[in-house]
Amino acid sequence: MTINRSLLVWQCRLMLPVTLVAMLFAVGYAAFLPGLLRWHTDYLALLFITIHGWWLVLSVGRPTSGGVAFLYGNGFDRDTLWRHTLLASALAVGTVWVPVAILIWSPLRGVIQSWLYDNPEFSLMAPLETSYPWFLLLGYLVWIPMLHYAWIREAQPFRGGNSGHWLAVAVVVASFTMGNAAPLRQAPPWMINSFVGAALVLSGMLLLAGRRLHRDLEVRA
Amino acid sequence: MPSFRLDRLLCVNYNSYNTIMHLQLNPHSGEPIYRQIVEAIKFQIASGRLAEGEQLPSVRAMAGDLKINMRTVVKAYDELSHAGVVVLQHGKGAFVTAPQRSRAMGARRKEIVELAKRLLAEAASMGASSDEVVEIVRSVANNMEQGK
Amino acid sequence: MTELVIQTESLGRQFGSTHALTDVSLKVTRGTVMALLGPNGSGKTTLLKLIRGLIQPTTGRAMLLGQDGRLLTNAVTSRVACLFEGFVPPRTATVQQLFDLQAGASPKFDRGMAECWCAKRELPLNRRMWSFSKGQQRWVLLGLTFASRADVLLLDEPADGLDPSARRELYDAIRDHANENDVTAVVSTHVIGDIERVADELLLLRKGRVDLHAGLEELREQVCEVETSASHPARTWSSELVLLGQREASGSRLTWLRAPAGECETLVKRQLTNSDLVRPVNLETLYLALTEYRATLDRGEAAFGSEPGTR
Repeated sequence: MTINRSLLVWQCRLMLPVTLVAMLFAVGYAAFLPGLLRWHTDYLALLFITIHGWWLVLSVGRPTSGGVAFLYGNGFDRDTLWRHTLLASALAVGTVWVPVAILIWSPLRGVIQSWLYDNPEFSLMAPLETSYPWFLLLGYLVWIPMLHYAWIREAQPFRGGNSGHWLAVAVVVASFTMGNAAPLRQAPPWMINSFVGAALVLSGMLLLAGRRLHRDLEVRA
Repeated sequence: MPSFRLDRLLCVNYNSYNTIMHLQLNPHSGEPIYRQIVEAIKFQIASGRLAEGEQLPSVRAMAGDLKINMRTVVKAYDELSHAGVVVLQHGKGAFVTAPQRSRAMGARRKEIVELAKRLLAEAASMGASSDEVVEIVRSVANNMEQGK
Repeated sequence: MTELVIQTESLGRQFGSTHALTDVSLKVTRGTVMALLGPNGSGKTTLLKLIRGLIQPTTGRAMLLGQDGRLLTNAVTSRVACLFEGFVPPRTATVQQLFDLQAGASPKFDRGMAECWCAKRELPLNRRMWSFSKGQQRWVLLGLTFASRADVLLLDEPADGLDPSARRELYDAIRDHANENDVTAVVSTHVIGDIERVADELLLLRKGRVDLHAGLEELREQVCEVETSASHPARTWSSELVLLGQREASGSRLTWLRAPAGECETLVKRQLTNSDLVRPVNLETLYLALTEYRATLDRGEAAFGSEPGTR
């Protein structure tokens, strides 16, 4: 499980545009949004994760693009490529997520809120935001492997097709619907926990299936 | 301190061979390359550009120069050695021998007659008369003599 | 010395209902330069991609350096360099960045060689790919494949977009690497004249099948062209000779024959009359003759039953 620095740097560079844009948006949003950031009402965040993840995977994991094909034709084996693609994706997501989490968990956001919007209640309500970055992370944990899986699935030699992409659409619809479902807003912790658990299981399954199918992936640029 | 290396700068390590022998090969003629080498070297010996006792380039150098497989050069040298034009000394290389007088006159004549027939047939296909061919052969022979 | 670098066993690939490649069995030994020829859509790219494990076979298998192409490990992939149409780095990448990546991909990467390769065409290393012409971009990628010091080169129409002198240098480089480092190269191309000079073996594909696989030097000895008068009826040749093609033009009939055992001219001469001519054939003429003749056979216009033999 060695890390090839050259490959990792190369892949991160592929994601540089999307990461810069996403970081700008995310930090701006987390810093300047008036009011509380609550995970079950934040459609904008869901939309952001959807678009960010989609663009990110598009730039590093679409085997029909010339740049990705160039890597597959180069001297790397399949498992090395899969490992580094995931690692680079994680680094790119981290570059966006870590500043946001720091902003929310540190007093920084409170300072901005009281200074900019003169919001006296914010300091009292702020602890409610603690779970928000974890919600973002969970979104990425499901969504990034989901999209990688979708592209790998599409590039399968004989059992390919769009099923992966449809599954991705289903995941988006489901997450938006769940955010809107009234009972969930006052859901007991065990229910939330089991949803989180299910999401993690889904993520893990996608990663394992992705790794397996990635070995058969066909490069057709 | 940045390492300054002249060889790196001039790319000498990566330059291909200089031309070592002026062999006129035509890879597009359809004639086997090894046979072309044999003919070309025989011609060089006949025209005096290669003298008796002189060493032919190594197989590696020749192949690198002509951009051909080393096996082809080996085959050509074998052929030359078989014809008695060069002698292969193990581990040393190929050396031009003295022109062969020993071969039976009859066999030699027969071979040359075959060559002449071929030349005349080719020339005929280009519309040349046999007189013209004879005249050309004579002038080429004169040139070769002067080259010596 | 005769280590098998590439070996395929009844390799085939279907795309939907299209048979891109059918029943290709092939052995390529170390240090061989193989020219891969064939009309468009004859399966050249499919074969190269199958060998490199970039696509999966429907039948048979491809072995590369002793490993099944379906799952090559790093021990093999790091020793192989390839070039395919459309496998291009991002246009924003600089030459230097490409070198850095290649150094990570190929343990034996020779940066000095890559730099010299680019210096030959005066390509600055700090420039981005989009500032280069198509031919220059191709030149940089070729530099990467050579400087990777790979043991196997799989090049799909590498001369595409190069000017004549660059093409010449490319093929010279392929030969030098084969001679000096025992590199095995499979090179597909449409321009036969260039590769004829440096290749050892010829693999001719037609409609996804091997039409002809032979050593070039052997082929030069085995194949000849016979010119006879068109007014005479077509001759039947002795059984040692295989008919490869025939064409009639301006009163004369050209026939291409192959003597699998060698020495075509000697065999033909026994059957010749004085007005007939026999001569060697260059590869380009042979290729055209063969493809035209096969197309004629396909249309059912000719009644010759002889099959061009494979080695």
